[in-house]
Amino acid sequence: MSAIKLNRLILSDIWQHKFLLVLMLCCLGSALAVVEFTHMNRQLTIHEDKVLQHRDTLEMEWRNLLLEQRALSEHSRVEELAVTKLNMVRPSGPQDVVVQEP
Amino acid sequence: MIKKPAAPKKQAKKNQQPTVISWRFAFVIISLFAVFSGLIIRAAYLQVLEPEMLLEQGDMRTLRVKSDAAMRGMILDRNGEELAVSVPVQSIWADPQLVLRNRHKIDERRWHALADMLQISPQQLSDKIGGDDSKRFVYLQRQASPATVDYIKQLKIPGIAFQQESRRYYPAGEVTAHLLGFTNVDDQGMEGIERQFNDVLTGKPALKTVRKDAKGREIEVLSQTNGQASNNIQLSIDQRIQAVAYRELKKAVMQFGATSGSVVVVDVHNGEVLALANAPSYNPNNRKNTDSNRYRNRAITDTFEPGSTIKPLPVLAALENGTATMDTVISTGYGPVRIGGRLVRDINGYGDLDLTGIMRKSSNIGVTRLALGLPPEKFLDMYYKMGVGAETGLGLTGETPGVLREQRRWGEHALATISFGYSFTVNAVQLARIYATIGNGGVSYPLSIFKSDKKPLGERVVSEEHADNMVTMLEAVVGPGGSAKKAAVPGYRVGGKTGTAKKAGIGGYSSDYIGSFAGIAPVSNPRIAVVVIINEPSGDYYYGGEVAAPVFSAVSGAALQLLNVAPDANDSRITKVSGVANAG
Repeated sequence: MSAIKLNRLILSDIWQHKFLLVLMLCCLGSALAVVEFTHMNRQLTIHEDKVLQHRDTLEMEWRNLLLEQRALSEHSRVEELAVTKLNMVRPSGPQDVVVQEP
Repeated sequence: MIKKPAAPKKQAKKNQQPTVISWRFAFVIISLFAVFSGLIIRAAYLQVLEPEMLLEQGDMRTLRVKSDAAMRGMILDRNGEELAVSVPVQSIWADPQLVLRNRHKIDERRWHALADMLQISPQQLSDKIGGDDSKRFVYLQRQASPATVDYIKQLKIPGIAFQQESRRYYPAGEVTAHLLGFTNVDDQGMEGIERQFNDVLTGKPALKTVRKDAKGREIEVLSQTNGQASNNIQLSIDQRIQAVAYRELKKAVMQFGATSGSVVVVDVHNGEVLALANAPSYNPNNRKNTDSNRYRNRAITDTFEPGSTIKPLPVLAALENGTATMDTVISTGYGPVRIGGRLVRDINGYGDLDLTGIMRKSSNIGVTRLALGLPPEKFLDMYYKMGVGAETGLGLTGETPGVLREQRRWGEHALATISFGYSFTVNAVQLARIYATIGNGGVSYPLSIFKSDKKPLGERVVSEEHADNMVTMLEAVVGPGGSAKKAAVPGYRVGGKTGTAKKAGIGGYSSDYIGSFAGIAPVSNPRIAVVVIINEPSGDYYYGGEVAAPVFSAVSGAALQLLNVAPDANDSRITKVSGVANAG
């Protein structure tokens, strides 16, 4: 009998301070949200760092490839290959035919 | 505390009422209060009064400043080909303190493997690290190869660490070595463009303060300062022409046993340098055992008496001042002539020559007569206007313009020697500028090593008519009866002038020569000026027409083709395409 009364009492008391309750829930929610967003922020930062590191490795690779390309396509090397391996000659004088666009 | 009621005692029933023993109660209260207030005070002390120490300790464990080093900028040629590229590499360093403290734990085989990878003996490695355990840093190897770094990482020796650095590579190697220069191990330019534009090429690293978690992951970016990106530099050099120029020059220097040589190719329309090469060169990617005087960019630093290559200037001076025309005939006689007490001689007696004849035969007596027919200041004015004694505008460090010394009173012999290229000095780029001016119809541009879309401010120094006449005369030099038949280029009309100058030594002229050739191509509509200098050829051949003219021929022929200049010789075939259907 008295237990029921106590329940009612508590409920009615809560009801009287429903505004406070809502505020409390909001507070709790926002605290949880802060935790959640901080976590998400960290995950994103970790991801960003990874992606940036990946960019650095890619850039390093690019630079090395660029260097390789330049070394292989170096003018004197290409010319030497053309002359020695492919028996090509640079046309000059009468062999040189100029094509002019109007 | 709740006391369990003791066994009931009848007489004690009255005393069952609990009483507060006041001193105990006070003790408990005070103790509790003291404990909690102690905690609160401690917390307040840590939080409010002295939080720095803990913050600092925390930061020391989690905060890291990351420096995102900007790679040194690239150097490109006029077509965007990379001539200098930086590549990230790693340096290997040791923390002697850590190494020495863990020395007994390190497996001896790993220690030997490390020494092997560094290509030193284990003893040398120990010496390098030393015995002083207060030292915290010593480089083991700078700019190590990635394979070495990977291997050493796997050895996992405590106290051995790695540091990000960058290494500069020059794909064209010795071809561009003098112009570009090189950087030292700390990425600072030491020579050439690298040194002069070090500030432009170097960026500022971006700094990022981050917080890391226990696993070393970056969880929070606290502050970030933007660095300054490095800039690329685009030169006016055409790598293809540069390669041909260097190759031909190297060949000639070897063939004629010369001590050195230089080639300069200039676009006459804007003064941009298309190629600038010297031989002997060096490998900028591996400079071990390179004699430091090989680093010198001789084309801009070395001055010399130009000899006959300067002869267009007295002829132009006479034309400009009206003391001679294209039809004037000068008597050069058939033997040496005494001028101002000393003899001036030609190789042969040429008799009567017109201006073209003087140029073609390179007659010293002829140009002397032209020079002496003018007031000294008018004659020398042509030299100054053409840039003798002045900087070319390249603005490269180490550029040493030659000297034409002013005198109050000019002796006749002094003027005579100036007219055929002695008693004053020039460098190769100055000579190139003179010929570029002639090729450009008399408008002089400062030389430039950078590609620019804007036309520089030119200055007219010779009338167009006289400049064009000079180009025609220069063509005669290369033609039949001239002194430089080997300079001819198949398919193109070219003009130029040879020079063979004795080098001044101690106490007079030595038996060493400088063979040179300076020319313009193509004659019908000049596009490039090329200067070739061969210093001290030691073989039987030393005339400019023999040693330098073939280089001119090869370089300008290739350059004209690469620049898509249409052949202008009479026998060249030109096919006109109608409509665009055939294009491509």
